[in-house]
Amino acid sequence: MTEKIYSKRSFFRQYIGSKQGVIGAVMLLLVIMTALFAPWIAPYDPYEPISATTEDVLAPPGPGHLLGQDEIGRDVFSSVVFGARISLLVGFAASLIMILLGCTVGLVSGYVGGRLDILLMRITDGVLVIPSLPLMLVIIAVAGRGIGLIIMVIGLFSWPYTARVIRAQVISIKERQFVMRAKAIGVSHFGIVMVHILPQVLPVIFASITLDISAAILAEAGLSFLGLGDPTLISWGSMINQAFSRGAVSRGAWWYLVPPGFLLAWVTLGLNLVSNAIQEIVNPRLRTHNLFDERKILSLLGRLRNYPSSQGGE
Amino acid sequence: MTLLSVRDLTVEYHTDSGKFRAVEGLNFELEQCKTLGLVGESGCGKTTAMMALMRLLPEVGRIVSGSVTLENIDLLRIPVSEMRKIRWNDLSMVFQGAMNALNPVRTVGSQIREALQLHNTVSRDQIDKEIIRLLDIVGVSASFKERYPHQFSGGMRQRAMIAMALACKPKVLITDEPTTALDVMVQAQIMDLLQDLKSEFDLGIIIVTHDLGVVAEYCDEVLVMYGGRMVEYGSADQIFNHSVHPYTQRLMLAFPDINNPDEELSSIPGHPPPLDDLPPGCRFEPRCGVSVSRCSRETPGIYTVAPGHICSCLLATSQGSPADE
Amino acid sequence: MDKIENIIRKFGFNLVTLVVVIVFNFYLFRIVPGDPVAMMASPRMKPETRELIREQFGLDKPLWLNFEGMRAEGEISTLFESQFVYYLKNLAKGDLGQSFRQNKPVAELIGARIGPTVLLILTGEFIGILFGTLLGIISAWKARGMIDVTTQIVGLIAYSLPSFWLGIILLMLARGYLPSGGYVTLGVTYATTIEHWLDIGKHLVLPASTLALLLFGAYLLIVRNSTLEVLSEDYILTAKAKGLSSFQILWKHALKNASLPLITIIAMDLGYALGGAIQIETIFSWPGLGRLMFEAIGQRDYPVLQGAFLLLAVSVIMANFLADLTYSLLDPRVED
Repeated sequence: MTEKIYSKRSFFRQYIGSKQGVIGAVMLLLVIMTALFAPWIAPYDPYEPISATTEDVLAPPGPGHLLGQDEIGRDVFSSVVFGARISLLVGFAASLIMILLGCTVGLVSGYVGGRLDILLMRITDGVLVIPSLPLMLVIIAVAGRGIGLIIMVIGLFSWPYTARVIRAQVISIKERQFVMRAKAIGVSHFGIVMVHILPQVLPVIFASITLDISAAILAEAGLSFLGLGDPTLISWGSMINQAFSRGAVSRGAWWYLVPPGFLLAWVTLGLNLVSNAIQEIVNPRLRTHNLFDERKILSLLGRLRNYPSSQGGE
Repeated sequence: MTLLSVRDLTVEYHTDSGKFRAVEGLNFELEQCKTLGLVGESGCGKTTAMMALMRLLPEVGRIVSGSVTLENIDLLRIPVSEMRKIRWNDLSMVFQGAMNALNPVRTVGSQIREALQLHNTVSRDQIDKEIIRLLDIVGVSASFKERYPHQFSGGMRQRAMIAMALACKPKVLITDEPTTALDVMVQAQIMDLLQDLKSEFDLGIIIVTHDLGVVAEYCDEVLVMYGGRMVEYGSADQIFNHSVHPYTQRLMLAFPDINNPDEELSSIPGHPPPLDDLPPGCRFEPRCGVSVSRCSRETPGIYTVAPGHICSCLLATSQGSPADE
Repeated sequence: MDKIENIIRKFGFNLVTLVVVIVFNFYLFRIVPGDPVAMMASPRMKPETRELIREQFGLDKPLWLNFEGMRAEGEISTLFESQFVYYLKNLAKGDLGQSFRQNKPVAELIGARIGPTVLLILTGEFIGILFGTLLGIISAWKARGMIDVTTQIVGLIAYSLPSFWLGIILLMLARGYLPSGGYVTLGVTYATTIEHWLDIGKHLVLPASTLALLLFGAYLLIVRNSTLEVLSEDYILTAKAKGLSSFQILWKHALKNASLPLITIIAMDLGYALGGAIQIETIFSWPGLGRLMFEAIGQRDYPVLQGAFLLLAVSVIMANFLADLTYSLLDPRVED
């Protein structure tokens, strides 16, 4: 196996060269900027109490309301912009928990090995096998809705995948030359992990983080859609929940239903592209295989001719 | 009878990092019931040449020129559908590293069956018997017919591959490094097996190897390659005992002599030329100890040293005459 | 022999997970502070019914083990007069409590809804697997060509869409052409069973398509990668050397090898598919377990939630175990 040592510069350079990496990063940046500068971008504050007339209910896009109005007359565009904050916040916060848990378990399990590894992997597999949305669903239904709980619940039950990926990487690095050398010199376990192994695992961690964030964002959206989100906050998922339960579908109010979901897809796609780009660098996928058009290798010989098949033995 | 005739075969690899000329101007013939040994260092182009014969080069490969004539058919100029009929049926190959050449999730028997069915070698009701017979010939017991490749030892897998390669009764069998990764005992068994098969089935065999011991013991003719070109070609006796090309001679020196076991082995310092930046003259010149100034400017032609013995070296002219094509 | 040992070990592991789920499920629905009865009996129930439930589930007793009772009575058997044991006993009898909303046994409600969910999941998975595998293989075969690039993009987008949003979009787009909800058209009587099934089928199209699209993206990408790897293996070269055509090679060598990893993924993603099903059933008013759970959330129908969750979790655990078994049966290399 080749000793793949990642240098920061070469990784960065390769990333810039990756089309999907750049596109993904730009997509994300746009949304993050929107969320950060929400108060300046949104024309209205969706948290402000509003007085509306019946004409404002589920009004289509028009002057002053780029994306129309929702069921109580609020500006949909502003809600979408501010909704970005919650959706992203929960996504990042929950993924932080996932990464911390996943990393710790993955690193320890992969490095220490032996019975601890088996035990940790059993626990990981156990959590993995329990269906996560139903689980989060019942917990929130029983314990009550709130953003803190949502973050915790998403984080606590979505880490196994990351843990496995990191563990696999640690195991493959553990046996390499430079780690053996460090051990021979007498570097402490902690030192080896922190200084030698961790940097090599970093790219895989980044790839996993992006996937974790997208999973967390979609999880929050899913829970909010089912009515389990924080009732005091606006997120993309809760917007779709409101829209759906207030009959936006039958009214054909696409301006209310489409944008929040579109943005969810946008963010997720951006994150997936980034993750793909990182994975391509870390684990370059095969570019060719054995089943191509054979004529390619003969292309320089000129036109193929059929030989008269009148030889003996045919 | 000449089975296979290769003329002026030139193969390149067109990759993102440049064009590599792996084989240039290769000429040889394979006779029935004869074994040709194709020798050279790693990267000298021997495997590439063989893959080109069967048109199994990777996607970046390009056959630039040449002809490969098998019984009056130029294999390089027939359509794919024709080639598929000829593959395995008339010309088959045992790849280097036969370890992974079998599908791990199918039984070995089923993979031999596939070959038999494809080329209609025997009638349907005879297939199972034929598979057992083939395995028996190579010394694998019939019970292994229903086993999976990972249940075979290295040597057995090699033998199974040979059995499969012979299933459709080809005229030419190519084996690429048949003895690498096998222990010495098994090596001998495999080579002896190939010898027996050759006479029993009137095969022509090409053995690609870097193991001169194997060549010395089992090959009738030898073709030495360097940097993609033929440097010397003749009978085994001529190559081993009367070699003319400096490279061949150095190879022989690097090969332990049983009569002189304490003699120091010499290696050839330096490394093969980069295939994307080949020198204008003789490719071996940088490492050759006896080159003259002409060698680095002129590409040596082909010179006949003796009947059936040719060489590509300017210095050989002093001993032989330029060969007539 | 190793294989059997392996199976037993896996079975044991799954059993442990199952136990953990049961314990957790029990505990979750008892830890809400206040009257434990509130979790099992709705305030709207008649006092007599509440008493019955209190008795049946031992809701005035300690949670796990009854130490005080044992000391008082002096009998060891009293130790097991606890809520947990009562719960287990009821579980064994198939009694999951009484639904708050409908005054019917939870088990009965769940039983009625299993069918539609199974139908939805099976159909969605089947379509997703079919298209994902087919396109994945073709995509890999023609790697980097037009088809490949297009399918990869489509797959990536499908993979990134929120399932419920996709469902809503499809719902809006198909309005007028396909029924927008429910299992069957209301108030219709059928001449034949076939008509009945056709009607169900009509209603199934949108929800199943949504689920299929959700899964197809992931399957496509996985099969493509797996096929690319397979097609680079030496045995493909051997097959080519034997004179097999590309199609023959794909069918006889690549297909099986490349789809093996898919079995594991399908099982692993089953929980995810169920989550998607909950959302899809909600959108399309599909009368399955998912929609049941959604309704139960709104009505704080805890016994139903508890029962449905248990069933879902148990199903996924069993499905995983089956997938594991199937994989080790299909791949002759698995010997551990």
